[in-house]
Amino acid sequence: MEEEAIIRKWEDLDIDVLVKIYQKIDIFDLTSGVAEICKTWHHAACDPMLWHTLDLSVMSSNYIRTPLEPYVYVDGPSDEKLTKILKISLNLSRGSIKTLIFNINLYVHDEQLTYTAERCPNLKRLVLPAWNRIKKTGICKAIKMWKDLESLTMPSIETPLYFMEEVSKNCKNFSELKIMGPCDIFLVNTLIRCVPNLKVLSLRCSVVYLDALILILDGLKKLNVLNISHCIIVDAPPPDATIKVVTKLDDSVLEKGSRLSEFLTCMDDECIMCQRTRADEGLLRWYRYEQGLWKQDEVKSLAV
Amino acid sequence: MAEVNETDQTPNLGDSTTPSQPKPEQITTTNVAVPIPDVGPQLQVVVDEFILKNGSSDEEVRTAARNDLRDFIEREEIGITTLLVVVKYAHEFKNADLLDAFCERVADLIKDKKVVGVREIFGIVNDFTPEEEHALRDEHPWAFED
Repeated sequence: MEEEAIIRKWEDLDIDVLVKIYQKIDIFDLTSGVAEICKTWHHAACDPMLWHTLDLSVMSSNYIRTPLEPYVYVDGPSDEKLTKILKISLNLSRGSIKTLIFNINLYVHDEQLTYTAERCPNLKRLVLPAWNRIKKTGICKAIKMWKDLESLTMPSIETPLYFMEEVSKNCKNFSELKIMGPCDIFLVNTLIRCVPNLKVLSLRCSVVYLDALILILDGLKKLNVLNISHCIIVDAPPPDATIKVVTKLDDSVLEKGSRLSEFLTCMDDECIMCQRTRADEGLLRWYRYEQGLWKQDEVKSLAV
Repeated sequence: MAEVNETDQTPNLGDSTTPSQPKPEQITTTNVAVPIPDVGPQLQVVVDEFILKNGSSDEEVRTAARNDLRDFIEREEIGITTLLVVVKYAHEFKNADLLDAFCERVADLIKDKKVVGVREIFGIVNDFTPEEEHALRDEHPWAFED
């Protein structure tokens, strides 16, 4: 009788305590069976506290670079592993996920993205830095399901218009954007047209054209925070003149920037991030550097 | 379950929002050993010491206390039944730091184990019906793989 009493106790453990314990195990352990131990443990594994954020920046795809689109090949088992973790996490999360983070070398494909979007209808923040295996139709389908999306971290894409139009149509509270790649006048025009109420924009560690920068400051009327730290600012006047790298922002630009609550710049030859951006010619090869470096941002809300 | 004289005990139950250093005369009266049932005397002593030191206003003393407790837990490989008792006691008396330290131990026991393994370790009876388990298994076959 004494033994029976002892055995029953772990099932009767307070849900709060179980949740506390679950907070100490990583996503791999959380999805590898604690939810199947017994009913109480299953119930605790579904607690919203565990699922506000799903951080998959601890996972990487097993991939090789390829010369043709999509420029990466991901092996089967690696894809399956991601699918498994997604299925179990999304199942247990029961729609609680508000922030979803993918790793820079976690190459999600359309099916996985759609499956995920369907099960995170309340998503507010998405960090998806690698779109290699995602088609236009795939990302648009996903965006349509994220009506509450406020913050997005994405790579630069060739023709952003189709995508930003979907954001414009579906995400009425969209206010924060981080683009990990070059910024030209076409992109800025698209932003002004599609997300005129943008409050926060980060373009750090990329090439930013001077005319684009000026247009950002003039054209995005609701902008509060702009981060162009470690960027290579390029003045590209008419075709016959040579392209010039701007080493110092002139007063007119600084004056416009001063109207923002935060205008973050860093153009310093001694700065390691500035040096790296230069070495990588404006498109940082994150895989060359410390793991997790890509997650940093001088804007707190955009850092991972 | 152990009874506590709450008016005496509360300030010393590791509540980090009231880090007053107890005066020597108070230590013997307000920090009376509250016996945690079914655990060895050694653990009781360690827990009591932790509670005392964790009430210190000195950050270093508190950190040292937590490290000592963690070391003790790892060294002694606290048993499952003992763990359950301490966890419940820490939760009941809202001693967040004590609870945290022991939850770490439980988490360590869960890591890298399959379902069957965890059930065995904790002596948990599976209360899913065969149909329910089948449904779970279909959804997540990987949890049961060898």
